[in-house]
Amino acid sequence: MQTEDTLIEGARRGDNDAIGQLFDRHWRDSWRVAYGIVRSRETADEVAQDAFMAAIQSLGSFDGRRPFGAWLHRIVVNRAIDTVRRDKRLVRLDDAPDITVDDHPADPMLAAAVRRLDLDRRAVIVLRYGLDMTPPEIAVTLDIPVGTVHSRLARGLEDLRTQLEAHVG
Amino acid sequence: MADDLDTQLRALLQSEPDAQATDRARSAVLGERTTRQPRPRRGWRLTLAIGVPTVAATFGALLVFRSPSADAPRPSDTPGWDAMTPGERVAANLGWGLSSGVTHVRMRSESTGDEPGEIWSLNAPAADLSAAVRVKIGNELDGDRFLDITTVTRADGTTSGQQATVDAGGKVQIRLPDTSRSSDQIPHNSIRVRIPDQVTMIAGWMADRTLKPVAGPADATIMQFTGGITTVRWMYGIQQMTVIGGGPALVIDVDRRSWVPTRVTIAELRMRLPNAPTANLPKNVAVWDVVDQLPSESQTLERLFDLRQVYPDAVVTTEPAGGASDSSSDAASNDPVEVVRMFVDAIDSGDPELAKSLCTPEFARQQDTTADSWFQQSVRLKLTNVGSVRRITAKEAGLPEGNGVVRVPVGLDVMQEHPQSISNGPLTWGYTLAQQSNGSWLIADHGVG
Repeated sequence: MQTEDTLIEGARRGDNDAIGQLFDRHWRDSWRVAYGIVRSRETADEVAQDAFMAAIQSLGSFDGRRPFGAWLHRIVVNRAIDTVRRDKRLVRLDDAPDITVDDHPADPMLAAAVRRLDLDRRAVIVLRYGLDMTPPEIAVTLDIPVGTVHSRLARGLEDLRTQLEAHVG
Repeated sequence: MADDLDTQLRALLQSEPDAQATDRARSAVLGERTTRQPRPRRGWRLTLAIGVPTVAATFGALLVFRSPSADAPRPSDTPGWDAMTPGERVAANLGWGLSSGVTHVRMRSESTGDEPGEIWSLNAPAADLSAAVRVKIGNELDGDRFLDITTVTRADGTTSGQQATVDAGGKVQIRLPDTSRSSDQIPHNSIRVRIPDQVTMIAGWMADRTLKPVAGPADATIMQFTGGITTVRWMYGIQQMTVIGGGPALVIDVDRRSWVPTRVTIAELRMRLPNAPTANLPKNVAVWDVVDQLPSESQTLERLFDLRQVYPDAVVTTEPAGGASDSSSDAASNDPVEVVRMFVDAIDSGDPELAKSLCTPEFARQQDTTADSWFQQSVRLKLTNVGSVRRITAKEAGLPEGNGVVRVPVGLDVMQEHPQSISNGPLTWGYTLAQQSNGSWLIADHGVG
């Protein structure tokens, strides 16, 4: 089994086998990050795919100071947040139904609460519970202080609880 | 409760991707793009497809157009195509691409994947320039990069360009500079068009529409349109077209997806033009909502933006191609408060080049390398308050001794794409300005209070 560094070197040379292996290793998590933020399977497919392709194309600028996965996930997070913001803007002006919708979530109330989360908090929640990342890992991924991760996590969970309790109440 | 919520969140967020979508994505990433199912789009799509990259720092590229609709004619299928010069064909193609409202282009490299780009500007013919387009390329990984493609048609009919050559079919071979990459960055969603005649076309189209006054004098009518720089932005999902030139300025809000104008605004004086007197800041005098809908989108879009119909009469611009940015060191003013206003407006408009032109070179360079610089991200900025200008010494400001130095305290309302050191919302801020030898003021520093 090849190491990640070897695969990255191969991908840089355009080795499709290496790119394929990197894809197999990281696609699911990338997609989860995208889906967790955009809450639409179709959009998540597109966001994760575009992010992956951009990452592969930009491997020349990947310096290896942080793990490839963290680097990739940050790209996914940025793209997903950008997509949600753009779609929200469209919705606001077009007075059309929300185009970022959950596709048959197992827990509609919680899904709706996640969708209402501030995007920065949502990203942290998604990395924590979608990918089981630790706060230091999230900090490396998002390039923010660990303290910020903790505060966003705490506030995100508090927001979720408040929303769920209001719904139950 | 906490454990329950943790469990519920994991159940919700640890979803699995669809197998077919995974296969499609894998194929796309590996370059087998035929299986990819793009989102449906209306109208035309402009595609920049890059050819085989070389080991050198340049790429070969081919400008191509494709249409999802069989009944909409390509420019090459229309009468008059044969009589066009290669440069006119390029412009026709570009206008045809723009006419559909599709402003994003994809730069495709056969070996390294897609990279999003945007048509940044399209210039009307000037002197011997037949067509010019500036493409902005950028994504989270790359800083903003601009590619100026200028085609020149000579008297003998041969055509070439600074970075492009045109074949007899109007296709452009583009050489892309492989510029160095910078840190993560979201590009501005913005497109600039320098086609005075487009304005005329829009004006003509607007004359046929039912407009409902929503602000300004009830009897205000659109009387005059002037050429200049047309800026198209979609900060909030709309395309805002700002016509810059002498006389009244026109702003048209256009639905991003359908390209249908939704609101027309006339500003009293010309807007954000570097050499404009700083007193001429935008002031809306009349606003209309477009009431009726388009009977036929495709026909109307043709009328709106199709360059073919206006190209023969295009007003020759004296601006050199590639000069799409309206930034200029002449932007500075003799009034420090006006400089601050222009700076804030430039940042708010997603125009870092103009903003930089209002700064001392040292401060501009410093801001260029700051992690969360407002030059490097999309920022909405509103000036909520301007305090009294206070003269301070260069020593106090930490600046070299020179002419005058002033401090302008301001209140800002900030909305950043990626807030880091500065939170979004109200901000008490201030700018330090240094007077230049010509009497103008430039921003030399900023900070809290």
